Order: sequence, then C-alpha cells, then structure tokens
Amino acid sequence: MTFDGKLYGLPQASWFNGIYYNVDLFKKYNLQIPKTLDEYFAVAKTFQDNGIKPQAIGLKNANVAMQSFIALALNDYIGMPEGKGFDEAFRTGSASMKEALLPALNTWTEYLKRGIFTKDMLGLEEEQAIDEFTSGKAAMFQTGPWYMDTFKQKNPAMNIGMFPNLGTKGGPGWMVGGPGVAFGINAKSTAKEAAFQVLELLSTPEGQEAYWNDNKGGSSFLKGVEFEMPAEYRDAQEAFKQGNVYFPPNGWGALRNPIIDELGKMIQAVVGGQETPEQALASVDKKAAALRSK
Amino acid sequence: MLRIRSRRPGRLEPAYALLLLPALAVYVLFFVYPAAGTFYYSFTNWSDVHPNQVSFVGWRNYRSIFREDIYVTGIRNTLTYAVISTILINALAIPLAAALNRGFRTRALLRSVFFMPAVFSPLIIGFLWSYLYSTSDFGLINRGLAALGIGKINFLGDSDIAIYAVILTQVWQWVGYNMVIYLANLQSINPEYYEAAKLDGAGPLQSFGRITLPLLAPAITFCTVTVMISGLKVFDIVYSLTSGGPGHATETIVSLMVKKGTRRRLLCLRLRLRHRIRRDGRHHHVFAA
Repeated sequence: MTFDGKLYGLPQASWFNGIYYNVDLFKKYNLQIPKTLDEYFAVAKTFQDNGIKPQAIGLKNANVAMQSFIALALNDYIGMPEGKGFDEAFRTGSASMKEALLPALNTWTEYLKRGIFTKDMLGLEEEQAIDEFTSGKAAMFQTGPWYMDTFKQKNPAMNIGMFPNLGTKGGPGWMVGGPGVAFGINAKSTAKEAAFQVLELLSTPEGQEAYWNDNKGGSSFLKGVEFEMPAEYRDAQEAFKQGNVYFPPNGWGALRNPIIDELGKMIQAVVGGQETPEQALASVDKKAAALRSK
Repeated sequence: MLRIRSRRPGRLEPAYALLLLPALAVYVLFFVYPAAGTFYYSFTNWSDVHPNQVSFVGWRNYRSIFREDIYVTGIRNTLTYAVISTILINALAIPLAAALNRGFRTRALLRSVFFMPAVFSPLIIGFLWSYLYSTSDFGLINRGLAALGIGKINFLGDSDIAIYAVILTQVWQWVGYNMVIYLANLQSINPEYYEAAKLDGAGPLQSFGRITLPLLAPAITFCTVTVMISGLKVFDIVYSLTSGGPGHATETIVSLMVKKGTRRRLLCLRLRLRHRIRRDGRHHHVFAA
C-alpha cells in the first residue's frame, strides 16, 4: 500500500477463492475437472440427474452472491485484454457496469436457468451451505482456504480439491482474490517498539511460515519465500502460475464497499426475479454515479 | 407538601433550577443540539466529502427520498412492520396475560417461559431464527412443514414474505414482555368488580369486555406506544436476519440510514483523511485497498 510514493503497509499474504469440489463424488460419477463453463454445466447436469446439488451457495449473504458473479465477470471480461482498463474506468465514471458486464451477468443467469442456483438458496446462510457441501448433498462450493479447517472438522474423511473459477472461454481460469490485510503501526503508539519487533519477525521466512500455517493456500510477498501449495490446490496451479488472482473491487477506490454491497443485493434481486440483469446493473451504475458526485 | 401546594404553579426556586442544570446541559448538548443541527443540515447540500462548502438547497434532499424506490420500500416496510407488530403483539399479550392471571399450578413457570425470549438480544434471536427458517435440509421449520406434507417455504429468501417472517420473530420475542406489563396492570384491578359483575349475572366474556379491557387502558396505551416506537426504528433484527435482503426487500428506514450514513461516512472519513494528507485540494477518490 503506497501513498505519495511512500510505503505505508505491506500485506502479509494473499487471499483467493475458487471452486472446492468433492473429489470422491467426482470419481464416483467419473467426472473430469471442468475447464470451461459449458463443461461445468455438463458436470452439474450429471449431479442433478443423480439427485445431488451441483454447487452449494449461501445466497442469503449478498457478498456471496457478488463473489459468484464477479468470478465469471473476471473470466469473461475484466480479466481479458479488452476489459483490462475497466476497473479504473468504472471508478472515474467513464465506464458503466451495464455496458461492460451485462453479457457476463446474462451468462451468469445460466446458473439459474439450469436450476443450479435456485430461489431457495436466497434463504441459505453460508454455514448452512457448507453443511450441504461437507455432508455430500452438494458437490461443489465457492470459497477460499479460510474454510478448509471447517470442512475438515465437519467431515474429516472428505477428499477436497479446488479448481479455479471458470468462464465461457476456457484458459487457466481465475481465482478471485488479492493482497490480504496489511499491518500498520500508529505513530503515537506507546508500544511502537514491540510492534516493530512483531513486524520484523513476520518479515522473516519463519514468521511468514507461521502466518501461512493459519492461512494455507495464500502466497507470501517476501522475496524468496515460496510455500508448497497443499495438494488440494493442484487443479488451480495453472491459474496461479499465470498470476490470475484478482479482485476487481480493489480497483474501484471509494466506490468499493458500497458497490460491493449494492452489486450483491442486485444479484439477489436477479435470483429472486425482481430485477432483470439489465435493471440490476443499471441500478448499480446509478448508485455509483451518486457516490461519485458526492 | 402543604407549602409546595400553596405556591403558584410554574414558579421554580433558583435552588431547584440549579439542580436541573446539569441534566439539562447534557440533554441540550447531546440531544437538542445534534437534532437541531441535523435538521438544519437536511436543508443543505452538506456531504461528508465537502463538509466545508455548505449551501442551502431547500427541500431537495426530501424530494429525492421519494424519487428513489429503495427509500419508498424502506418507509413501506417500516410502517408495515410497526403496524403489524403493534397489533399482533398486543392482541396476543392481553389474552395471554388474562390466562396467566388465573390461579393454576404451572402459572409461574409458564410466565417465565413466555417472558424468556425478551431476555435475548435481537442479534441472537436473528441468528437463531435464520437457522430455523433455513431452506436447507437442516432447516427445522421447513423440515416440520415437509413432514406435514406442506412444501418448503422460503421465509427469508422470498422477497414477498421476508418482512413478515421478520415480524413473526419479533412478535414471538416481545409478546411475553408485554404480557408482563399487562399482568401487572391486571393485578391492580379490584377483584370486587368481578364479584359484583358475577352477582349481576355477567359471563366471563362480558366481564372481560366490560371490566378488564377498560381498566387495562393504561397498560394498553403504554404497550401500544412503546411497541410502535420500537417498530418505527427497527434495525437490529433486520440486520441479523436478512441484512435488508434479499435485494432490498426488507430494508427499513433505519437500516437504510445506517447503510447510507454510517457505512459510507466511514469510507469517506478515510477519504477525507487522504485529502488532508494531500493538501492539494483536488478530489482524489483513490486509495489502495
């Protein structure tokens, strides 16, 4: 985190989310890891035919709804060469979501048309969706490594893998994510010395490893420190290698939090049928315009 | 007592006035001044990004409220919530109090049981009910409905019924609390009235309608007003059950205020800080997240 050319904070590790899947269920139905959205839908169909929910999702949480859509938008537009300047343009107001992301949202509604995500899931908390995933009622779940311990606690025998978020065009796929929290020190703190010592310690390979042990899967920002990714993330390797880890809202400046919230709510409204994709994105644009003109 | 009565009404001894001062000062400083200030600023274009360039804009802010669907939804939901919860809570609390005012063995236990939900914070109630209402196979209520052969009801995920599902939890939580107030009032009613009515040949329904209800008027006034007031400013249960969702279906006036005011203010505070650091007067909405 820099400001006026000065360094104010350095994140400790990165965060990301992708699609966790139940390895045993994939084996049982002889399924390959999907590489495109179409392949994903074919996999989903097999699960549906066998009475298994393809993907659990707690759409009651607006942020969860937003993450699912932004993952597809990242694959199909924001992460493509033509969408590279979108975040900056959206921040300043020279690009609108409706123009840029409507095709992606229309594609996303395929999840609804195919019955993978349903209105019922608007009444589902994330924790309850996790229960469906770990009990084998659902085969996939989009989240990040921070839930790995929960999965293991709920079902120690479960074999879990992760593949990247997918788009229609194929390629290595994308992880939704970015730099994690950075530590700052209050210049007037009475414990400044101790705080610097903590920072110092965190900046050693040992410190990074200790930090990483509680957040397995992220990568370190310390030069020369590379962690061996746990086996669960093998199917996502290519996306990491390409550097395909990005969280678009990080480029939206002050619009970030209110627009994350509004976008999530509007995705919920699309699921519930109160808004068309076009209306939903127009509403987000309207809110962004109001925020920019403050 | 006599001396006080002999004084002209409305005259305040300086010594008493002095005693009132500290409380009055706190009240003015923390309520009257901010309230009047907020009212004044509501007619200006004050925004947290430009706190120093304030000019008078008349009714513009108020008109804009009714132009945005989300505010209209918020106002409608708040009124729906306040009216329905006031009616239901009181309509259930009075008969409940009357029933638990009669002498039977489990009376004390039942009173505690009905009062118990009021002890918990609405945040806990929200967390609890979001599990009960869940559409997952682990959702208790929907499991029960399925066992009865009724299909799943998407209590919190269906935007047409979510607000009623929220109201139901609050009726459940607050009936017992209001029942206690009605009970206290009931116990102050002289039993001789009932005896006299019985001698005159009045049945239980007649006694209830002609004696109990009129004499319950003080408690009815109190309960109606308090439930209505808390209904008009409802926020906590909405926040914990639905966060105003799905979409903006269960947004209330206060939940919108929190969202539009506080959450953004926090962001803009950070922004303002940046402005101060830069000191170049330009508007930079940039900051690394």
